[in-house]
Amino acid sequence: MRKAALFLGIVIAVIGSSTGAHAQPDGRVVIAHPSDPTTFDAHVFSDQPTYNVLLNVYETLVERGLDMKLHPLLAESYRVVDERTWQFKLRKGIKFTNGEPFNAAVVKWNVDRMLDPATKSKNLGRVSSIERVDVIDDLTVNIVTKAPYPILDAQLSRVVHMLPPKYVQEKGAAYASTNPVGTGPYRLVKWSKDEQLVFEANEAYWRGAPRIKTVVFRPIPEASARVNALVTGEVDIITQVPPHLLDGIKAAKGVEVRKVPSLEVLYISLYNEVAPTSNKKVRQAINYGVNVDAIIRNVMRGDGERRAGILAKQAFGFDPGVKPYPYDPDMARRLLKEANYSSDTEFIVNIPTGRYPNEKAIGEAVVGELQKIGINARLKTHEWGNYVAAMTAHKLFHMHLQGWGPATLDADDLYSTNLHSKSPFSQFHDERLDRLVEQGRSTMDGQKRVQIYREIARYQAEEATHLFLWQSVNLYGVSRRVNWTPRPDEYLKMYDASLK
Amino acid sequence: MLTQIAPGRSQLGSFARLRTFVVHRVGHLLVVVVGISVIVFLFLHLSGDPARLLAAQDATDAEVERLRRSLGLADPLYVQYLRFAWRALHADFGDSFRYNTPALGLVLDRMPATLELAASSLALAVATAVPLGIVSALRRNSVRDVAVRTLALVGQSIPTFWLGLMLVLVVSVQLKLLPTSGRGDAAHLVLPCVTLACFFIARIARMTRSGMLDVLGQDYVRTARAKGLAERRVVVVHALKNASIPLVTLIGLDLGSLLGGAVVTETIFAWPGVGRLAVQAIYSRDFPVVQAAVFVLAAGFVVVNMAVDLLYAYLDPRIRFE
Repeated sequence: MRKAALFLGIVIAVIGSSTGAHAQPDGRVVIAHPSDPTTFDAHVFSDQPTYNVLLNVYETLVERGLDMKLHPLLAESYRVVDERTWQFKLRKGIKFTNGEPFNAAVVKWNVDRMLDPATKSKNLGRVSSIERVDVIDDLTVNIVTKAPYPILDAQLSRVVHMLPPKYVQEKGAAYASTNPVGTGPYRLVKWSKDEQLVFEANEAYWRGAPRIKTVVFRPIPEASARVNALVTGEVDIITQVPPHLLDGIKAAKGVEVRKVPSLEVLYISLYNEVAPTSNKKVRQAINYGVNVDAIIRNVMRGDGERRAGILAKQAFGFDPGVKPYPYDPDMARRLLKEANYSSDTEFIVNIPTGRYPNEKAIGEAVVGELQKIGINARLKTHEWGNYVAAMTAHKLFHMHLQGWGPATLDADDLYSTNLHSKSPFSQFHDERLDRLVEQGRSTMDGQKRVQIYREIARYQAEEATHLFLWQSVNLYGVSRRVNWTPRPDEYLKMYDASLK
Repeated sequence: MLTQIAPGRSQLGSFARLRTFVVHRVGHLLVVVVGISVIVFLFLHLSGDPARLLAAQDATDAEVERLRRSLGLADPLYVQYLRFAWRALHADFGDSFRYNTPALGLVLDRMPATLELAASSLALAVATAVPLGIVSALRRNSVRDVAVRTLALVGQSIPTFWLGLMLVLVVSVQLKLLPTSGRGDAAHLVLPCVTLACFFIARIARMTRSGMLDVLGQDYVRTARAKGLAERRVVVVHALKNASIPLVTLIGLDLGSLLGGAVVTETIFAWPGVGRLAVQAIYSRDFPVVQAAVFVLAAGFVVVNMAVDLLYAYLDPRIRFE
């Protein structure tokens, strides 16, 4: 009998979900994350907490699904017309929650607003490749780039959220930045800064109403306070759980740990214009001499996937054929000897504070490993603001820890910033890498680009441009009553969630 | 300026003197605020470049430079300072780099939460600590006195973050009596209020005790007792009032530091106060918000100090303003 009921339940659930018809939105989910979004002026910000929350209200032309692949969203379809022209066909009948229609003119207004220097967009670089937007008809726009730009669609999944032009112009940007109106599945109904942010379901949403009626975001900066709030049932989802607090969640009733490999890869930059890391053998010795697998096991409690490069495995251009350096301290010592390495001068391992989970423990472990192979290593920690300043001034030698997720999920994102000598974040200056990165950025043919990125990955491993570490795992604590799968890009899209 | 003069001098002109005093104090406020603004401005600008932190992580140097110029950070420092000072005169601290909205508004938005926490925890501290201190002083070296002194010592030694975390673990997680964090109804206020109050209870109780001990040995207390006044009246009116001057100073200073210095408590309990905002702003080099927060807190501090000085005159009529 119970089995029959269960079966019936499943059948109903399957039918329900396959027709896409959601029941009336119902229930309430509270999410605790470390910090509040900064603004709902979606053209201006560039911080992750804002990205994570914004997509409940606003939508973009293109979106990344849970599979991390690009799908048209507000666009019905899009295609590359010629090397510099992309054509987007828009969906018909979409309205903002204030009744304004969404159409080609809206797209043009939004792109133009982002490009306008007066907007002071912190994401200008993501759209600065765009030369102009042409409105072809009410539901068709052409976006013309200044040069061939193969990752435009990836950028458009990340920026140019569609705001209603009339509303923003009438009410002013300042008002709109705290009272957003979008086409998305939720409406913002209350925002007490640093306290709570309340969304209500947009029942007229064009893909069908969301299943959860009320979604509340609460900023709780302290990780242990987030765990406490989850365990007592005050909140249903918590983000950014540090590995050492997982046991507290596992021991509690009604909640569980959910993990997803993040897009962020951790690595340690080596300076090829400063001795001793200017010597390729020293750089290779460092990669042989640090037991990265042991650090993943002991410091990260297993939550990290070893990488042979600096690129996440989901990214376009990732080369699974390149294998990580094996742990071989004897080889490391031999290479150091061949390089005539002398341990007279101190070798500084730089680590930021308050940026990456377990950063200090990682730094200490690396220092210990380096000392074992005879490198006179010492740890130095820096406040994040100073760290970034020193890093971009190329002064954090001999090595510094860094983590980077490709926002566009394209190899160019990482390689342009970390391997091209013109980038402030690149500590490795090499003509061949510069040439390859530039080629990859301006080639429209996907197959050819993959070839270029494979070449970069192999060359980078051989040159040991970095001490290669691992791809992080994002850890969440979730109430068992919530159906929700965490995303690699950290977005908290509650349209995908439901209550059990 | 405060001076003590011989009793019996004419009360005439005391209001005129009070007015002069207030005017002087406001003058002080301006000097203090201008001084603070210069120091804060210089230190902030020495502390690093906000443009790089604000731009998208993969922004090129040219984009960062453009952002820097659009935020007005490319001008010479004195130009930036004068622009800041001119705007500040019009109560405009500029727009927050991070939030893109007026910085002063961001600070004032968080003022109610800060005041709520500061006022309630200070009220709790005074209401608990003063009676404890009196009891302790009246029964010097008794069991009660030792108990109060020990408690005070412990209270002052316990780190706030530890106490806060322990209270949450016991009261919220184990006993499920109160929410773990956040702001909302009165239940949310209890734990952060108690956490903050504990430290101040210890300080104020110790200060009350030593002040009372000084005063209880004075001739006028003996006279009051000799007159046959009720012990209660002797303690409250004759002794406590005279012992309150250092106490009022201490409480005033505590209130001043509570306005901006409750960062640890605000962080543990996710309390949306000014301290947390200011610290976040410092980390992200959001200069306008730091400047606005420091201005508001400094102004608050000076106003509290002025109120304390005015209270002196009430507590000790020999004190005059000049």
